[in-house]
Amino acid sequence: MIAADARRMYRALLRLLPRAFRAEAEPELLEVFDAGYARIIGGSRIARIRFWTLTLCDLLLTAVAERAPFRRSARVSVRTLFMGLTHDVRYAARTLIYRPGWTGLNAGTLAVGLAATIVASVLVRNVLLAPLPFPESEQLVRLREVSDDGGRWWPSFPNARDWRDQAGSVFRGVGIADVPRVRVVMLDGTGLRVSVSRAAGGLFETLGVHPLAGRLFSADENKPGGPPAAIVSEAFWRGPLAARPLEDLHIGVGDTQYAIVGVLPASFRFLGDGAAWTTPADVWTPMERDSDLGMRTSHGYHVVARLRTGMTVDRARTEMNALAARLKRQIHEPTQADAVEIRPLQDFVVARVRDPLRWLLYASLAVLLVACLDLAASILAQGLDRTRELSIRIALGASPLRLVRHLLIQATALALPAVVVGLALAVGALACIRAEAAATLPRLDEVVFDARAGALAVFIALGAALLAGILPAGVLASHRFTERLRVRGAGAAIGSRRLWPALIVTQVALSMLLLVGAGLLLRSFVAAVNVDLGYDAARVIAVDISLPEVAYAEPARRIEFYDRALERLRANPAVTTAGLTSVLPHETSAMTAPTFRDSANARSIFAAYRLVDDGYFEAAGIPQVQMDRTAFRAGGALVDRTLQRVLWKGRNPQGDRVQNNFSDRVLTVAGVVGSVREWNQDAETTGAVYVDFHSRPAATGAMHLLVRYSGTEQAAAKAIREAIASTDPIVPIAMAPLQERVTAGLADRRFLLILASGFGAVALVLASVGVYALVAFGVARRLRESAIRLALGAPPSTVRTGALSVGLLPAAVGVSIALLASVWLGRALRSQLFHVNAVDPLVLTCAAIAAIAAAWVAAALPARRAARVDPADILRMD
Amino acid sequence: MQSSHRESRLHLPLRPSAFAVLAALAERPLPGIDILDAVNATVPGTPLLGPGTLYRLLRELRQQQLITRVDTAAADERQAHHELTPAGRATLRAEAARLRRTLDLADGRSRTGPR
Repeated sequence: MIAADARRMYRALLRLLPRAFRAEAEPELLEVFDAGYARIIGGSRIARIRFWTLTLCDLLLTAVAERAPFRRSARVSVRTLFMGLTHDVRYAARTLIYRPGWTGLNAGTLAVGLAATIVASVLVRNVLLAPLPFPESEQLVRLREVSDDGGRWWPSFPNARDWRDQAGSVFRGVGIADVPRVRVVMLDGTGLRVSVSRAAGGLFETLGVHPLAGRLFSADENKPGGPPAAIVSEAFWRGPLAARPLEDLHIGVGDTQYAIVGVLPASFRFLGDGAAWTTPADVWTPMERDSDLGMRTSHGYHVVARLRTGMTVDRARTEMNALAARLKRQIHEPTQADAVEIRPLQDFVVARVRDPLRWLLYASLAVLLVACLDLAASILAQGLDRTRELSIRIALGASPLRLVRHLLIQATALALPAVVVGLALAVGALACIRAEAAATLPRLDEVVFDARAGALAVFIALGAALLAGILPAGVLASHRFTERLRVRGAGAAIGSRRLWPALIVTQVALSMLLLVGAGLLLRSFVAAVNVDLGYDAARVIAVDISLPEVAYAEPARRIEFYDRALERLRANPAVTTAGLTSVLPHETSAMTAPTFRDSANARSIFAAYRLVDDGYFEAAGIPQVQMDRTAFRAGGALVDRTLQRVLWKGRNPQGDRVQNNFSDRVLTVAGVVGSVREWNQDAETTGAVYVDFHSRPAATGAMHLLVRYSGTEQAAAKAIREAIASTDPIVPIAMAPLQERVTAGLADRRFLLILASGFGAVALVLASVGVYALVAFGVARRLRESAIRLALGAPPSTVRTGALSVGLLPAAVGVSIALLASVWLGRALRSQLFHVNAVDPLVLTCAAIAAIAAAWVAAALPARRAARVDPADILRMD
Repeated sequence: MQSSHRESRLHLPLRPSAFAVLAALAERPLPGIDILDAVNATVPGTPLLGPGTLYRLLRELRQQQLITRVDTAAADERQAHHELTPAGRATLRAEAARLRRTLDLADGRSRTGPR
């Protein structure tokens, strides 16, 4: 850069300084700059960077110091700061009490913004940041197997046991548990459907869980053939067990009577089905008592470990990978554990909600910012009414610092009622979230509104009040304004021409961005609801059946039960069709395994493994069924369209062979059926392999009946109850409409949507209030001008249009900025979107129309007032 | 002299940057850039002052009547020079003496201070 350019640039930068200062100092500043710049010409790049950095810092410092409202009050001592403080507080309180409408509106606005921020920050703090409720929980990690092809697997029991026994230098303890399963537990002769998990030795010790009563499993109990002992949850102990003393308390699980030795506290949480962080099983039995815990390829165990003190995750990973490689060399069994994935448990538990909660926090901060700007605009507008009072204060010798303090105290005084209302709103909102999102947010039960949350609320409120107060304080106590008041008294015009539009632009842009976010989520939600599931959940009841294990120990008896129950159901006129399945259509859970053609080294994909009867497809409404019924009943497998597309490239697979790792044999394909969307609606379809349940009687302890009905739901439910009771009255069942269970899969999306649209709507209302205050203020400021124009014969419509444009022009600028920013927002939100483009014209158009309409309404009222003023009244006031 | 001495004590203690500016002007009147150099040479590393902060400081010292602007007969007429006033000189001297006493105290050479 040549010297002349540099000089020009510096001169432009000098505009940061107040005009008066510039007029006085510019020649000298330029002179010093020139001399300094002459020295760095030809110097190194570092010297040049250093020079410009120092010059910029110097300019900014000077600009801030020169523009600070209290620069004239040379030295501010602590004493002067507190002089008359009580007076200011009293005065502020009086001002607020005498203007209840103004106070209510502003405190309410701030309260809404505060409530949003408090809710979001409490959720972020308790769910994302707070350590898990275990001692030294930062040492807890979750382990998974990693295969050479990059696949990540829930560990198998033999591998996890080897890790526990051979990685003592890495872990202080390794805990293994299986996924809870609903089983029939016999208590005093009655069968109860209860979720049952098994814990290998060291699980509770590793986590650091202490029993509420009794003890944990002993080493003996967790050995093959050890004494049968069970631990129950507090809820189960207080509920069905009626909190009886543990001595001589027994329950029957399967064909074994277990002595209850301990009770786990209600606060205990662990990984459950689908690895959700949830209330764990009601009954725990010792895992290693059982002999059949699967091969090294039987995945499906939760493995957590506690790192030794001083052990980092990275080092643990290195050591465990070495151990995995060594084990692989030694055991000569097929295994997917080529390496070990180690991930902090907390990180894993909250991974799913990290993004939504982060977005929630951002959205709430945007709402709070809009509320702050509202309050700032309102205080500023109020300042207009008070120019007379302010000018008297200045005439009596109030320093600008005192004015700043006065205005800040007023904003803070507003914050007090706002905190109270905001806290009440936040507590209410958290209660709603707890009721609505219990299944969506992990650790929601840990969310408590404690003293810390209260302190945080007060802190945010004070920060917001100061933020809202500092802007009007800066303007009203600015040197230029006070000088004008000093010279011209109360008639002085106030503030700068650029500030109001900037406020409107910011508010409209922020609230429109929130609307765009809410709109995108709404479109995703609608898309998710309308997505073709591949089955028809309407008018279908899903019945969960768990057969009592002792009475149905014989596999043939199970088959007989299901066949008879299906027969009775199908004979009932209230029932259209009925079918049987091991897994409901929307939940794949852990029953997904690699699937490939033949057993050669063919390509494998993950596919669900399901035991069904041939009536299932009709009952579930799965279309495009082409099956060879005889081949299916003879032990053949049906594959779905996804598998056909991926494994057979769309060719007819009938007669070909397929293997799913859950099955112990290679199956012959007996037909093709339509694909079903798995897990929940947003996930892409995985494939599925269907096998006739008659050919696998051993795995039919717990099944689901799907019953399609034509009459009323009550009639169908009655028919189901009767059919099961007449087949075998001791079999407990649970039923719910299939649609209800499918909708539960949308809970995540609905939760985020409700919050986002709530925030969007609140921000829009707040922004409208703000635009109203700002336009009202702008119009009032130009009342005299309007009066003169009217007096000179201007038609009221011109005055009205002028006043409208005060609000609408900046709003249009705000909308344009938000349109640009929403491109970025859409991209950033992409992970939360479903079947919606990041830039969605419909959403953008609607949000823009809503924002402009709100600004229009907010500006129309003051504009009408401006057009109706009586010029004589206004001009007489001067 | 007595009154000027009393006046000079009004400004004590001086800020380090103000003291450095007065000290830089002790010998002869200087233009802004030379003052900046002299002041920044007193501390190694990041400069104490930039043009803007220097200008504010000079203005403050002028308002306190410790320095004054002078027209010199230099070749370049644009360059404004700054010069110490008698009050400025007295203040500089008083501050130097105060600092010297402080140094003595630190070195344990003060007659009144602890040994």
